[in-house]
Amino acid sequence: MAEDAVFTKQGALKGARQSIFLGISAVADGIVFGLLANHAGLDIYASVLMSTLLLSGTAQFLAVSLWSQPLPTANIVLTTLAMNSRNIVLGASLRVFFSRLPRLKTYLSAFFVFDETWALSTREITLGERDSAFLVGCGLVLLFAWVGGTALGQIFGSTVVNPRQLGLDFVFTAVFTALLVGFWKGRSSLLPLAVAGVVSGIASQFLPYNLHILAGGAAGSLTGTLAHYLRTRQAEEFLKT
Amino acid sequence: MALVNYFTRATGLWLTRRSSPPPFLEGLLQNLPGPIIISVIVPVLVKGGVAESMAALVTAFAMFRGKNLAIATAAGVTAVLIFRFLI
Repeated sequence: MAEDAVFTKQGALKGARQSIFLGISAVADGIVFGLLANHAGLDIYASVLMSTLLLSGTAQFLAVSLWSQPLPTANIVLTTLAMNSRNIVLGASLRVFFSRLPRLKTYLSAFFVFDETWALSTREITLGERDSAFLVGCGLVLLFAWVGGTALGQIFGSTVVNPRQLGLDFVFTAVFTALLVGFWKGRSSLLPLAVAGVVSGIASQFLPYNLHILAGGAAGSLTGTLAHYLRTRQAEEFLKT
Repeated sequence: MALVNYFTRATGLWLTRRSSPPPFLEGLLQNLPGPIIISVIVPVLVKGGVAESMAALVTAFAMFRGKNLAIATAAGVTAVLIFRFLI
């Protein structure tokens, strides 16, 4: 079992080297998050702790956008689960790295499974890499970059006076619009996104606690999955005839 | 929140030690992020105005071309300031 599970310092260093550019961008994103967390009323300790424990741009931007008193805890936890449930699929696809690794190393590595580390690791696996510490190397660089950026943003944040005058009230929307582009997979994305947009737009008029996000997400995801099933079934029947 | 977040990351690796999940569930999870993200944006734009919607288009265009989150965000924020000034 142990001989084909590789986990070395060299692998981690290789991952770290390949993550430098993503790390620079993570510092910039961290600064944006630190600024927004500051405006939402989180202090530097709370936001740095959040960045360290979560290391998740999407979940953290969302949590800060929902931040109010009393804190909508259940909603934040549920949306975190909904937003990041894709990590389950990402992790499950890293079978080559983790199916044979000892349990402790696997579940420590799990802390670093997210879009960027997954993308780099998947490419590395297709190139023949078998050292799963690669993913941890990627993750550590991004962790330090993201936490460092968060602290910088918090420090600059306290000097910023009027967020609207600087357009900072639009940063949330801009970040999420940019993230959305990353999930655009061509024309098949149009229908689920349209359904999600319409459902969330209508639901936001009467659902409390920003539950329209979950409503739109569920409707869009179901539409996308059903459409995919119908398409593949049609293709199968077409091939049969 | 941190626990739930870690749970999403660990479950996938736990699954690599098991058999594959049912394909319909896998499909649902895979199709979730885009719809979730647009569900965050649309109500904000509905409540906002023309300037915000146009700036969102600028942001999307910048992301399509540059593939850089920080630059696309900066472009969007600059655009919303310009559109608010003009409209």
